[in-house]
Amino acid sequence: MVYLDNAATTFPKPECVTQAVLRGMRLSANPGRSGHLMSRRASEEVFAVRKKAAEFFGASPDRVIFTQNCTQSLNTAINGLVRQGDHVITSSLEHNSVMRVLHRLQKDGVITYDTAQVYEGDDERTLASFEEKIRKNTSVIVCTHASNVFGSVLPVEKIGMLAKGYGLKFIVDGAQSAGVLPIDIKKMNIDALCIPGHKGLYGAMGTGLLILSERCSMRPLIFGGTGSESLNPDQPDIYPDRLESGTLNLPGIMSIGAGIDFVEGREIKQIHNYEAQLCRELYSYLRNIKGVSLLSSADSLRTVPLIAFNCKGLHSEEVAERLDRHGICVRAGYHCAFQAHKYRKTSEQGAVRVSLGVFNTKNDVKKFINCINKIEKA
Amino acid sequence: MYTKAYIKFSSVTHAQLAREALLRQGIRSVMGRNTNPARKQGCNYALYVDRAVIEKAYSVVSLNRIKNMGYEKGEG
Repeated sequence: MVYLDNAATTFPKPECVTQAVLRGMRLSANPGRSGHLMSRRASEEVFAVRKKAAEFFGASPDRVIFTQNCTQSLNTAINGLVRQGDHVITSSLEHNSVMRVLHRLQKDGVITYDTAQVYEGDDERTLASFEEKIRKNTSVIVCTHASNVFGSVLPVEKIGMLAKGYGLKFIVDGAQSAGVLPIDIKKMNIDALCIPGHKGLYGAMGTGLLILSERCSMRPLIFGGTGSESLNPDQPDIYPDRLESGTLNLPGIMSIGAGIDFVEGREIKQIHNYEAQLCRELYSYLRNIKGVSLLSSADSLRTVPLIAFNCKGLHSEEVAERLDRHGICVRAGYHCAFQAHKYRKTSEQGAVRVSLGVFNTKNDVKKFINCINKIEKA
Repeated sequence: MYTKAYIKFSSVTHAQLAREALLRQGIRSVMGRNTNPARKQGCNYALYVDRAVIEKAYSVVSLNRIKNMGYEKGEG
């Protein structure tokens, strides 16, 4: 089996991550609730990961919120920050975890939103596109750091500056970039960073993080028990409690901690260089196959390590199905991103997405290319 | 009657942050549930410290802007 679907979730997970999940299962008392030794131990494990994540993304530990996934983080941030009558700006490369939230809020008459065009390879033009959408009632910019379909990286640091300059809140979808590209929420002026635990951070599925700046406060999406202020019918206004109702996923959280250790141990830059090198190799092979049309760039400074492409005369799902028959795992179709496919005019054929991880090898790339050659010749 | 000196926190995370801030100033503390919560405050956590340093400990926590629910000096 050759696994090239790391943008969906990284595989395999490092052994330290598996061990962390097992430790969490064995520890398994409820953190932040009871006062007994087991609960206190569980709370210490959670706190250790909070600190680790805070340091990794340039935040304070109490501003690290554990969620179920990146989608929940985005739903919490968007719903929590907008108010009736607000205007929101997003990009042309968004995932449905942003678009469907905005669409619903617009349909309900809460907000209006506009889409800023991303000009891949031209940051200034992209930035101008965001700026020209700003209105008097704009309150939030929400955009992806890197497209989950094409891999294109948006100039988030510059967009963050723009948002700060206009006094807007800035939400970033880091689904494809966390653990892949360096992110510092202070440096990038990010108010709410929404990320999964199970992709570039190599944690378990069903984990996510919402990392907030000091100045960012929001209404919760989920209300309930927090282990604090229990006699108060109102949700606490302190963080992380305000946004962390219900029992936490202790084994999952511990897996994130182990995943961050793994990424830091290998160094994010080294991981990126390695994956980018494989990506360039893949790109150069694909470019020479007649009938393959590439939808991504090979510029590692402007992309995360994934390549989208199509084969002439075949739907992307058909290509993925044929690859699967050869034991190769890729993702095809529309990647939960109608906006991105509409922008690139691939709504009919979709796209085949090959996404690399730190455990992929040159041999994986060769096997994949051999199969694509076979498919093309058939 | 002997009672311990402690600082009160509604959130376990804030108690943990305070414990670290105290340690940076050389003040040791032990975290636990507050076994004597005020009637209207509900569940909360306590950082138990040596009674001789409770005021200093409280000022460290306040200077670090860590949200808390005040402190008890202890008796005995």
